[in-house]
Amino acid sequence: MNGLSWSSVVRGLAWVLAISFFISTVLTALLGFEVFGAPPERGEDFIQFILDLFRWDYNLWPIDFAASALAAIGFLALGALGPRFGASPDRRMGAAAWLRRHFFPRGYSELHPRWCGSAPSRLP
Amino acid sequence: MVWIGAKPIAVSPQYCDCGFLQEEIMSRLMIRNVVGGVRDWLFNGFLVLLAVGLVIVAGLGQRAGMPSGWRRLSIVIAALSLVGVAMTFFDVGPFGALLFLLIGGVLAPVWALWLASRASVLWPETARMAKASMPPD
Repeated sequence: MNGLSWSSVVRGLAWVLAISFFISTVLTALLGFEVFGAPPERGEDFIQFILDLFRWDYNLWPIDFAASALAAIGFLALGALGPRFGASPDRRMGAAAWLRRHFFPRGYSELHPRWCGSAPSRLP
Repeated sequence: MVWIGAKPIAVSPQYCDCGFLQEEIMSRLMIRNVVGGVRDWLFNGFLVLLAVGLVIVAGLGQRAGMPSGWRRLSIVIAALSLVGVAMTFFDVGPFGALLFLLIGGVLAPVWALWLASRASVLWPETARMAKASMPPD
């Protein structure tokens, strides 16, 4: 993949992430604050109440589906952004090295080189 | 995705004609609640991973050319994500939803658009190479 592709991919993923998270959050908030209608009140007949609740829930499904699908798209875009950081020109410290330096003691990272993305410098 | 697969079936208004409506309703209600719980905990796991990832990316991004404000924003989102996970253990009323709105509707899009606007700074060599390979006007 050439250079223009890297920055273009990051830019595209970031836009997808921003738009999908924003719309998904707004739709979820509208559902949560019951803008499209409150759920049915619970009466004496519990089964009838559940039937009414399901009907109300089913009518709102298109909005719920859109919010869930957009959230999934945003998660995918966010997950795809991670490897792009590993491909950034700052190769002095890749993600694995940064993780090893900041999160794991030296001995621990050498015991578990596979987790940290590098071969051990010496055997434990 | 779990929610998308399970919910429309659980709350579908079509019921069996076998005469066991009450049992069917209760089993559907239970499925809906179980899947909702799975979805909520998957989301909590996502928030924890998001916090760890943002802390890592904050340092990497700043070192690669992102402004310190973007690094601080990453740390703030990470911290608020963990607060969001902690809130699931308490009854906080509308504050959980408001925090969700703040993270997902404001901070995360701003973070992503900020990154998009500086993408060519983070990958300058490759951008220059691509520019050089373009035919002259």
